[in-house]
Amino acid sequence: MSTNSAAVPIAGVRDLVKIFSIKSDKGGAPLQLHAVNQVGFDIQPAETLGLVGESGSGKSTIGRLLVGLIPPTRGHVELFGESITGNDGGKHLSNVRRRLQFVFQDPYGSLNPRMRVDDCIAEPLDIAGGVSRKERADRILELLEIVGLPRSCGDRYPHEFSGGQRQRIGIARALALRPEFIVCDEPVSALDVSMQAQIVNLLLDLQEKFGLSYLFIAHDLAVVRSIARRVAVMYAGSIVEQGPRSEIYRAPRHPYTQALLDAVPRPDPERQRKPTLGGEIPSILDPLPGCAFAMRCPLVTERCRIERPMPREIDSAHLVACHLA
Amino acid sequence: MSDLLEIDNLTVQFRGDSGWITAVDDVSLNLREGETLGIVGESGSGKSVTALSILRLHAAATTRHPTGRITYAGRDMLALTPRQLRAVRGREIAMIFQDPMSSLNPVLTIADQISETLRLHQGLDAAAARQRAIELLDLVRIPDARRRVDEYPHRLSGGMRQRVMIAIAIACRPRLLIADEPTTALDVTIQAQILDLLRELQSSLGMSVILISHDMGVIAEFAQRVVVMYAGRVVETAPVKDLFRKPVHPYTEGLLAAIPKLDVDVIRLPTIRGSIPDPAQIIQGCRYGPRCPVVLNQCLVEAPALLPAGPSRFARCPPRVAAP
Repeated sequence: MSTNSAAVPIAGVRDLVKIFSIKSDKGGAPLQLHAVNQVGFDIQPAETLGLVGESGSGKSTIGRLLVGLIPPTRGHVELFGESITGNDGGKHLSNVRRRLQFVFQDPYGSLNPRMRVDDCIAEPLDIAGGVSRKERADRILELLEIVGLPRSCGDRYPHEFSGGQRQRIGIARALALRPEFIVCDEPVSALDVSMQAQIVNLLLDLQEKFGLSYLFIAHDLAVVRSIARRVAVMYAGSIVEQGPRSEIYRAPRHPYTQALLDAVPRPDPERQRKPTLGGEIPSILDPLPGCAFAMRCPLVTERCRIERPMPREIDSAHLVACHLA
Repeated sequence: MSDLLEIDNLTVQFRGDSGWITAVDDVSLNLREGETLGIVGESGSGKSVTALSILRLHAAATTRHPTGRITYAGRDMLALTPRQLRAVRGREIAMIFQDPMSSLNPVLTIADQISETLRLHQGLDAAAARQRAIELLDLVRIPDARRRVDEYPHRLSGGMRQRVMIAIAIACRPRLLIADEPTTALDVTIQAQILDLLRELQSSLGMSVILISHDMGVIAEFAQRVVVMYAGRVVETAPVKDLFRKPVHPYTEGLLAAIPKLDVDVIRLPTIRGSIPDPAQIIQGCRYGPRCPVVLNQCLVEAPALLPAGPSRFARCPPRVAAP
């Protein structure tokens, strides 16, 4: 799957499966929620992989699995060339923890309202330890400058800031330990359009400056196009298509990717949308055999209902999980 | 066509910790019979506050309207008695909201909730109301309506819940439907379905619609005429094609440029500097002035008026409007 076999991927995922057991509201045996179903991808150094999907597609679960916040049911996760899922996985995870960070959707929920901004930003440094008072103060000022906040912000509290500024604080905090890899889970979804563009550009600038790799999780296809060079599209727990941005957006090959792109309203009153995709996202409790999209697919065949399509490389680094592609 | 709704110089203030805060400032707009008007803006623009004022849904004790008039079908909405108001709400003017889960009552079945409107406004008995509820669920394309009508809201998906809200809203065949971010909480493929449904119902029932959204894409697809709001004021109003082809106000222009593009690759998105002002903040002159890339000295001194800017167009930007 890797395009450059010489470089060790920042993150590599193979056959990843996550099944949550949830209590049935009718009592009896717990239900099996298939959140992530045999997913695989790599993220190369200084690269952004965009992970898009609608709600319940499993994209956030993948983000959490990737940084070891939850253990997978099956499958392998490698970070910086070391497995965090095999024997000794826990040890490897603690070795690499400093090198990866997470930026969340809701900067209101992820910043402690009772902590001053400078303490929020420096908390990772404080936990890691070994930083002098002077180094700490200097690093805070440096981080504020990096994310484009005035130096005077440090002694204020998160509630004094707008959503966009709070996301900048969240990013400064994530950068405190100089990570190499950041999982961004819907980092601009809660923001207004005029703030969104600022944060997307900031993330791009930081990537250029520090050679960061991102897993950028979002439901908004246009936002993903503006930040990720490679894109994976999820549906009901599976990656149905992944490849270079240019191909995914210009020549999508999976019928779901095509329908999804077409369903997005464009700021163009003259545009005619194709007929709308019917149906809803299927239940991921006890998924049916065959393709998860079969029920809604305009091109469905008998084979699609019986046999689950696995990702196939149809072009260099462009994988599609569809019998018909 | 005549105006079904006219809002003139409406100002809405809410009581805050340190005095009255102006959320909507001198807003005027009109809606013709059968028309679809889009109101677009970011947080704090006053788009929802304006819409809620039409049905007087703000808490009376902490809201005041120092200026303005809202005329619906010849009636002065701000002067109606509570009883008169109840007769309009849900019968002549219906409203749907962003989050169907919090607008539906979790302990009542779908049948109960649709029937409430029908029994109140149309005097149907329980059996007739239930029958009509099933027809309405069919009309909003809920499959298996006869069975679904007895379910509770939590059993339905987000898209299905919004269909139920629409069924309640159209139950009495309103003349005006106000849809406040009706698809914002929905996935994009479900959003497309709900927009299709609203469009069909509008033409089959002959309703006028006010669609409130932050999403320029949704507005472009759905509205005939658009009102752009910023920080409590109308900054521009225009027929939808004109607005997207050639925005007049620098804010509209900046907003359209800042939208991530789905159909082209861009290296860096153009941005609007600064952030949306706090409603409590007093801004001299143009409210967009501090963020505007083409701001002039005069803009920071004198509050600009909404001026004619072409056929059926208005913009609150004297430098742009005066220039040829």
